Amino acid sequence: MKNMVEKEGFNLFKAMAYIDRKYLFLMVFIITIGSLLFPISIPIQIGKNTNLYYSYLSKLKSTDIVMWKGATFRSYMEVKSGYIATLRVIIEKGAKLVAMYDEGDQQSVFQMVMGNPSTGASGILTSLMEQKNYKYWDNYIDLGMVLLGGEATYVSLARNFQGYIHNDYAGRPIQGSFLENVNGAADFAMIIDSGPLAGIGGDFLGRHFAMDYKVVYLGNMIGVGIAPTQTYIETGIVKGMLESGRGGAELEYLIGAPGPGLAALNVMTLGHYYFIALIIIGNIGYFGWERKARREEEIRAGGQKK
Amino acid sequence: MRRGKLPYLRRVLALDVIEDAVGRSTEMGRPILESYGTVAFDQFVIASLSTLSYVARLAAKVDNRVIVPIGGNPGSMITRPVAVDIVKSAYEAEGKGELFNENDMPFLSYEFFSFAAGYVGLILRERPGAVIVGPETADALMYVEEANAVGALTIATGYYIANVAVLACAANYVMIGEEALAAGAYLSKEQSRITSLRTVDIFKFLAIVLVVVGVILVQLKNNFIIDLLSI
Amino acid sequence: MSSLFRRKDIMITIVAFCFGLVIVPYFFDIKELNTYANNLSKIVAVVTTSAFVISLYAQSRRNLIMVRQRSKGWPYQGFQLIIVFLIAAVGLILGQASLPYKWPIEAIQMSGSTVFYSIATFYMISAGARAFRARNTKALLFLLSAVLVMLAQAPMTELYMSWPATIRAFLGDTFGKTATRIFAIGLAISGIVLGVRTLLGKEPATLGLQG
Repeated sequence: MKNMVEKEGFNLFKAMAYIDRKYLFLMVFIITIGSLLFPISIPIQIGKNTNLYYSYLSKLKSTDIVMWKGATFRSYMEVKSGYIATLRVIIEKGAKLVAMYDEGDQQSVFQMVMGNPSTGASGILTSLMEQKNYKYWDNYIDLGMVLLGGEATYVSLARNFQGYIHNDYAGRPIQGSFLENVNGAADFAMIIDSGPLAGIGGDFLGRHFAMDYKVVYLGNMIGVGIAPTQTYIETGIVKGMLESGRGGAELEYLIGAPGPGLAALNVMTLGHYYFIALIIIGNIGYFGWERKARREEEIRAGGQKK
Repeated sequence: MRRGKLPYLRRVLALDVIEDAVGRSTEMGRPILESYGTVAFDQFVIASLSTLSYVARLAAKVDNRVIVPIGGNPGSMITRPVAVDIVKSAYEAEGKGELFNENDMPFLSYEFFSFAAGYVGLILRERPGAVIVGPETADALMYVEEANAVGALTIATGYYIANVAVLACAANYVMIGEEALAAGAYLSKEQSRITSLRTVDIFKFLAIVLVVVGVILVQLKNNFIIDLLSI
Repeated sequence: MSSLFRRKDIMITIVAFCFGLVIVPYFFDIKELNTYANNLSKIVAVVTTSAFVISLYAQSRRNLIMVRQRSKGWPYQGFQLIIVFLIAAVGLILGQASLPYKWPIEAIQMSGSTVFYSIATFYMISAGARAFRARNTKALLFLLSAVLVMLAQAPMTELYMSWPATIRAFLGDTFGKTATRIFAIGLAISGIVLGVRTLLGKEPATLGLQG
């Protein structure tokens, strides 16, 4: 049998096994830009977790207080659609919102969406907030980076909110706001972790709010957090989750507010198919050329050793 | 545990190959690049610091450089002095204190993706012979792929269950979950530390027994184990 | 004095004391202890956040050395130094809400982060073409599962086929959840044992010591 390693000329299997990276990357551009320029409407099936998430979100009342744990910029890029859609629902329901963070850029992300009350800078949802008369201090308060300090902080918040929180992020005392009667976790109707970097349920909020006080705990998950969180949904600690970009798109569809999630569905579909195609092509090349080439190289190396 | 007899430990290929990786890099005349994670102290960072200690010692023995990119989180500066101490002590212990260069442990950025960009840039510029990726999250694949592109041997830490699958394919060697946490004990070969790994096995066995007994009891409509484990 | 605090036994005693201070309030409701534990947590939080000041110093020092020595890539280090201090000065003088401060962060730094996050796609593509090979039976099974799950994930697939979703649900509910739980249990137990080893001083690397 001819030695395929030494064969001159073009070898299709070899080309399939070793596709140059620049062509791979070029295809990504073509798929992304093509999908955005020539969108196809795809009907979307709503997943079980999104339905659960929405079922709790849709029951919010104007007297409910929602605790919002911020998303870092890197997770916001993935969960943007769900982040905006969830805040949209909260604003439309008129529920009270308390935003808290444990990393520096989470507040910037929140203000990018809700606007900056200190400077009057507008955010993505500012027009909706004006329409619904949803105002800072009356309807939502930003407490700033109060979630530092690990588990002890969450325990303090859950058991002795007034002992731990005194001001908002700008130093304004919370007395006189809707937070003055919040004593602990039991006074929150819901917690939303808006873009955690890992699974939730076994985290501090899960342990000290959801498990101890049975607060409804929802998560807007990035991809790697979906599988670990699923187990906590089944035990009832987490009540629902949005599964990354797809979940956000489903929520946008449910609430009838198309946004970045639905717009990205085409790209998501074609991207997945392209990836599958690459795996298949790569393996055809592997079985057609690479495996034989490696075996022949091993035989040659073994022969030289002798 | 009988005195003097080490308990049986299965091989963790990713840890066994570290010595070969350092040797390979030295033969190629290229440095070793290792990261120990982006956050301040957590269990994986503690374990990775033990690996760093081992790698630094090996590198010092063969007069090679260890490059340790640091950053990715505001808390990463907390761990930096510890890491600098570890590497410096390793070189001094081998009598090669003059080879230690603190500039080989650059703080790149506390901003996550800025750190990732700097890390990738370091790989491309320094072209290490081996890259030992610590407990990284979304960026782990970037480092492994870039390391493969420059021909480095890659050893990755599977920090997330989701990451493990991809790193197992993309990296040459991967430490899955508790293998990374056992690194310090495994590499030291000290009896007291290796015995603690046997403790992990005992507790795992207990967990298996609890699961099996719990499943049987639930079939018999008895929730004793569930109630016992409910907080 | 500093050499006293670098002694291993002193460092381990401090670690054990802090551990006790934080863990005992979980079991005993002692008011003063709760206060001290909360204060310790706040101190840790403040120190962690303030670490960026040290990082600024470390980064500036490194960049200055590289500029002075004209090391490889020194113009970029110099540029970085200028930009960092310029933006810091603008923020201090004009305030964090001012446009000259916010614009570089929102238009450049955040956009740059977005771009770099997107680059992960290209790395995934590169890994998919290069590394995902069915080298043996296990790898073949893994790849088949991956292909089926990805097929089910693509929204358009549901229009034409429902069986990938069924297979995806099966794989996720059985193997996926099992693996996640095994991983979580293993990590939790190993983490506890690692913590005990650290408290007993058997992980000297944590304290910056050789071991």
